[in-house]
Amino acid sequence: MALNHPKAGPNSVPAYIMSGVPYVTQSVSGEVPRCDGGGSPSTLKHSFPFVTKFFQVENLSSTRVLRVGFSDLGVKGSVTNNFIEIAASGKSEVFELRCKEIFLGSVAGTGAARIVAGLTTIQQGEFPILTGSVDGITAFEGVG
Amino acid sequence: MSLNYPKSGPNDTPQYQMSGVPHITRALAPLKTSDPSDCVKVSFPFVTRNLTITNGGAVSLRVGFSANGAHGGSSNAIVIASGQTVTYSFRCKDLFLMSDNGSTTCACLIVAGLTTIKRTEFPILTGSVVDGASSFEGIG
Repeated sequence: MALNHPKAGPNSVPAYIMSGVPYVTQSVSGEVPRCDGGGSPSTLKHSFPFVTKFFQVENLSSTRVLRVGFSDLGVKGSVTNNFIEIAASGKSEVFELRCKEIFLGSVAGTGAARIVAGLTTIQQGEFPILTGSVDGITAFEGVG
Repeated sequence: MSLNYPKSGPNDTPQYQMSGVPHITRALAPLKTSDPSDCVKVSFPFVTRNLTITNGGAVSLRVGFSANGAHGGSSNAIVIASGQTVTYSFRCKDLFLMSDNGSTTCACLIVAGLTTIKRTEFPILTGSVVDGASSFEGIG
C-alpha cells in the first residue's frame, strides 16, 4: 500500500479555512536586537513549525518601538521600509497573513516580544521563502 | 444496515466554515504559583472554532493550551491585561488559566464558538510527550 500521501501545499485552501492550531512563544528580555542606527543593525528571525493562518505580535518593551517584517532587509529598512511598527507595550492587530518566518527588530536598543499565532497544517518546507531579493530580481514585492 | 457512520475529524474543513455553536463559561483563575498543576482547566465538549476571552479581574490573566504553557515556565501563555478582550480563531479542546499575580485571583469570561467535532477526536496539545520529543511547538 502506498503511504507517500500528498501533502498540503502553500495554496491548500482548506488548511486556511480551518481554525489555527495555537502557537504562543516569547523572547527573553533583550533578545530582539537593535535594527536601526549605526554600527551593525540586526534582526531576530523567528521560524514557525508550520505555515501561519494568522499571527499577532506584542511588544514587551515599555520604552522602545518594535518592528515586524518578513525579511531581514525589510525590517532594517536598508532599501525600502517593509515593516510594521508596534508602539512600546503595544500589540499588533491579528494579521491574517501566511508566512513561515517573521523578523523582529527593536528601535534604539534591544527589546522583547511575544508572538501568538494560529498555524495551519502546511509544513514550513512547503512554503517559499518570502524575499524581495533573489539574485537581484524582486521575487515578492512589499517584503524587502 | 451499517450504522458506524464516519465521524468528523480534527481536520474536517466544513466544520470550521460554519458559525460556531455558542458556549459561554466563566472561570476564576487561581493565584500564580510555582506549580503548573494549580492552573484551572476549562474543557470544551467539542473542538473550538474561535475563542473570545475577557479578563474581568484587576490583574493580568495568563491563558495557555497546556498547564505548563499557562503557568509560564515555558513562556507559552497569552497574557491578557485587566479589562481587555481578545479573540482568536484557535482550535482546541482545553484551556488553562492562571492569574499573573501571586496575591490576586482573576475572573474571566470565555465565549467560544464550537464545531461539532467531538473532543475525543482532537489530539492533546502538549509540548511534552513521554519520550521527551516536542509534539506541538508553541504550546508548552
